[in-house]
Amino acid sequence: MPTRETAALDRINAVTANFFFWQGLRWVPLGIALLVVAWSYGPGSPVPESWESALLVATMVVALAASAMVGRWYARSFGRVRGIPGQHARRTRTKWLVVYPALLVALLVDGIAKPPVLVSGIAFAVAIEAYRRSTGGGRAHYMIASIAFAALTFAPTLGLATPGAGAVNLLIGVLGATYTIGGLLDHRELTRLFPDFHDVDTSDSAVSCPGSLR
Amino acid sequence: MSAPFERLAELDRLVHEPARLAIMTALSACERADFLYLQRLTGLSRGNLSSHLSKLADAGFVEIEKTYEGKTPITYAKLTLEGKEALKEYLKSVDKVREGIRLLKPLRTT
Repeated sequence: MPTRETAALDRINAVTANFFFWQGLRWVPLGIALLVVAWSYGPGSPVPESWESALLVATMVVALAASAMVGRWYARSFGRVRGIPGQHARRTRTKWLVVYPALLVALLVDGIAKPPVLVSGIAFAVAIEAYRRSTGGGRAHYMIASIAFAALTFAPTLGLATPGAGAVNLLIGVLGATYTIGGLLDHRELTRLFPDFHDVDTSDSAVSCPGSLR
Repeated sequence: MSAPFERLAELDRLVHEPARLAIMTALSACERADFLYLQRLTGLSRGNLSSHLSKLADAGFVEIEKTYEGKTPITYAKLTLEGKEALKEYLKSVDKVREGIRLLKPLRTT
């Protein structure tokens, strides 16, 4: 089988196994919420300090509700896939036991110790690349995001943000932008993989290949 | 080792058809997927997809389950153990064909 076809089958396999993560529009409300949070905590924000926590909670609740609605839209428009139980057990274990604790520790180090480099930058860079690889690969935009986060490590050194809360806030803003833009581009990749409906003769003697198998 | 053509003749034609291969590949990556997902993935019309699924179901490679989520009727397809085995065997056969082609030496023309 030519390599192009093999690659197409690998793609179908990867997207089906990770269908939830490729439903990019699900992440857009969360990204916007993070951008709002970063803005409200940022310098010169008109939001009174006493309102910041309430705004954070309200924004997240609205974002989660919107994300769930988008999920239902995906089910109606793109169908439903039920994963194999335990298929991603290793990924789930790694996520909860290694990645999330490491990100939390990095954020705490940046917030409390206020080092001259943003430790969370490199931690998020590694986490995003791990996310990309473990959810079906492809999606070059996450490689770009990963490089952006790695570069963010030097934001305090370069004077782009004050060490501590300022730098962490900048990171949250970039994370929000990554969720938003990454989500839109994920959706675009998903729609590219799924061809438009069309009526074709697919009898054995006049085969029309599906999608990228074409 | 048998010749590449002999290997080609051994390929399971039921699996070899591109739409069915895509369906089986998708179903091998999940517990089950609904009709709409497979339709979006393949771009086939309802009739064509039904026809392919029927062929796979008749061969015992796919199980069809009709259910409701709320008031919405949903048709799920699931790859059976036999289907998984057939796909595995097919991919193995394709690998052997590729290996056979790689080992073929080009004919001298001078």
